[in-house]
Amino acid sequence: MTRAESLSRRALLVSLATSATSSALGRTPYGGRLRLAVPWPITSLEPASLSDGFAALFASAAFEPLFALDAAGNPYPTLAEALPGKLESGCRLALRPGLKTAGGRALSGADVVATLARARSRGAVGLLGELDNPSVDAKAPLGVVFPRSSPDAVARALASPLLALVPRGFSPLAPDGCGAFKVELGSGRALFTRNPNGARGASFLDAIEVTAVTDLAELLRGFEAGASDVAWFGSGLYRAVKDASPFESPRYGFAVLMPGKAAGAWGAPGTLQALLDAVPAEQLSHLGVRGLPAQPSGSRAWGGPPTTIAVPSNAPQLAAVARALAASLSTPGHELSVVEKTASEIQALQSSRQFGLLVALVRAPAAHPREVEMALRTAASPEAAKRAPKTAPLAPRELGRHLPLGVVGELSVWGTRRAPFVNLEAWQLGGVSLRPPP
Amino acid sequence: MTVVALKSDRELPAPDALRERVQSAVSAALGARRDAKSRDARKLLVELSIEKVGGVLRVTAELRRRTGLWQRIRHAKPSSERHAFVEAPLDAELRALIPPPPLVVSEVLKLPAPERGIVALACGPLGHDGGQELALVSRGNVRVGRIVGGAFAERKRAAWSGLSVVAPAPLREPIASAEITADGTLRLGLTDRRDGLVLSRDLGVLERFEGLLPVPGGGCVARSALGLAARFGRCATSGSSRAEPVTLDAVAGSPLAPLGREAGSARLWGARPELSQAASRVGAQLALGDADTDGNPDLAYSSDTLEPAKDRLTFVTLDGRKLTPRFELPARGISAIAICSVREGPGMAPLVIATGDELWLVR
Repeated sequence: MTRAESLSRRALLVSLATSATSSALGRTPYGGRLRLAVPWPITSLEPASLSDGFAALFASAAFEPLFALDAAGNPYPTLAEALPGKLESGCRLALRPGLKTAGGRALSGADVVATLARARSRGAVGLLGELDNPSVDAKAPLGVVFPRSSPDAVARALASPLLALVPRGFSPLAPDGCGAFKVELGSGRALFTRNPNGARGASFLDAIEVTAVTDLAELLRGFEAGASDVAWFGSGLYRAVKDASPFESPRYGFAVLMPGKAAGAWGAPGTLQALLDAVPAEQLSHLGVRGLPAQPSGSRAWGGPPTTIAVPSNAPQLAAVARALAASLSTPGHELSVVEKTASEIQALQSSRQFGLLVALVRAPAAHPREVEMALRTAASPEAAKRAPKTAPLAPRELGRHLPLGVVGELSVWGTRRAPFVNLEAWQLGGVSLRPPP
Repeated sequence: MTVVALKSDRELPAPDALRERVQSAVSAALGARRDAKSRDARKLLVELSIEKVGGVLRVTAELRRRTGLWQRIRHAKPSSERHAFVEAPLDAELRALIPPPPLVVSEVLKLPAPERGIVALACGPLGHDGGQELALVSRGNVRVGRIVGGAFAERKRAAWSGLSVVAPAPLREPIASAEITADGTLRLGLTDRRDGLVLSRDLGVLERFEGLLPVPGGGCVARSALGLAARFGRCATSGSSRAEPVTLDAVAGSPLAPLGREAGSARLWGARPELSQAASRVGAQLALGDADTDGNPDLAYSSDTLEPAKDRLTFVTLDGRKLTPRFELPARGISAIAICSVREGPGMAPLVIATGDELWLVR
């Protein structure tokens, strides 16, 4: 069996490995409703976003990329019919026939071209840096031709969740993809329901209800009150809940500290990381931040001008991190204060860079170190990310010593879940199921 | 006409009755010709050798000239002038003379499977060379081969990618079926893939059923949103998208009866009356066959549990009124079961179980 064959054995083994009950016995039951709260605003679902916490957690539930990477880092086709085939110059890929979005829209090569074009102007700008613009194969509407790129480079790039396939005319306010769930967005809430057109299988759960909270305590209180099935960063605010199990999902992003023009020389590459490496872990760990240095090193005294740390409003975890950093880094005459900004204000600040410091999220689109590095480089400088060196990927905090941003720590969903929900740890939400009572 | 030998792999309760029955059947078949040439016929002798092997009866007939006095003194045996051979499965009449073997487990041979994740199995003579083979269906491949010296010896393999395109909306947890038919073809389907297939002995595609899953024993079922529509029909795309009230998540069958497992309740579903009376829930791995060739279908199924350690094979007979329990065999994480179509010895037809990374041959 060659790698060029569709849905390779490796792919199937991976899918088997991620499906706990595919090997036996009864069958994983369909049904159930998972309710959870998130410390992120819910306004849209943009698969190509690098800075949206809600997308970092839930884009994979509603969207699928054309390829995926196995445990060894090799790509395999998911929505593509096969791995890209080499042409005399460049390469060609084709979509699987018959694919439809949750909204019932048939997908073709033109949708692949449109997906890449819109992702290039968003979080995938670094990822697509050296890939040329593709075009639809004139002979086959499901085909896409990359005029100069190598098949391997195309497959690896298109395995990124940032390049998940969306239909032409896609709007993140009314998201429509071919993942396990279809999604309806409301004000501060989202409802994911089973997508029978799911290109890699409909979800086991009937639905996932997600609500946004503005206070970290609500993440625990809701679990204790029975309004939520997941408790973040603990097992209950006042008491442990019965029939609950601890769990931790893979990291979905990083809290980062970014410098603006007002930071002056303290915004130079490596400077912020040196400060953050000196912050004791106990000052941040209670806020759910992981991946903190075991032993702080160096000085954490901010020596730059008194300035503000901007942070997105309605993102209580980031706000708490910003407040903790302000308290830890401030020194007399070099005070830092926290100011909350709306999403549009943050966007304007990032464009103009007219701010002192900014605490933000950088999504970790996948677990592969190369993709994590590309995400951090893109967040630091989209233009520089296009020309990222091809050396071995660096660990996130190590990378912070070379970039004009500092990695505060890792973000993941950890805490407690109601015991009957199975496979939540992997955070592949289509594969989560509700175990029936004995 | 005389019966010169009667061999059996099991003790026969009434060997004389079997001799007489075979003798009379052959006499009846020869009767018309003997009357026509009665003078010549009196000079001829038909010698019958009867052998009962597994689920078949073999009869060999030798036509010799009768010996005269001088030849008898010389102990000269005349050479065979004509030779005939017939093999017949044990039908209802023969079963009255040859009782079926007990449905018990005397041996379990465990061998490594060529790959993990086998989702369907079939066992029977594939093609016309007479030997019984095993077909293993995983999400990536279809393999056929035999068990030789405690290992699976693969004769042929085909990747699914070369057999069918991926289904537009596959199931997250696949449903598969496989059957080696009486005419020696392999019928199989997998919900990961768009087409149900009929394959030749060399795994070439003979027929293709778009959007349908072949049911062992004949016919097909259509895909529904989260499983299979509970309507056994012809393997032709009807274009009708009538929603069936019941969804199946496993199918099995033999020419005697198709059946399935109802997805919601985990109970057996089918036309046979004893299925509706079965109270217990069953697992999603089913196999139907006639392991003792007694004419009643036998059903093997896994347990309805999500814990591999609690899984077991249960074997029952459908006798028209109820499910008669035969035996249970603890087996961790059964992913597919087959009942071989041919008995290979004095006991029941072998069962094959896929469990994790092993194949179990149960005899």
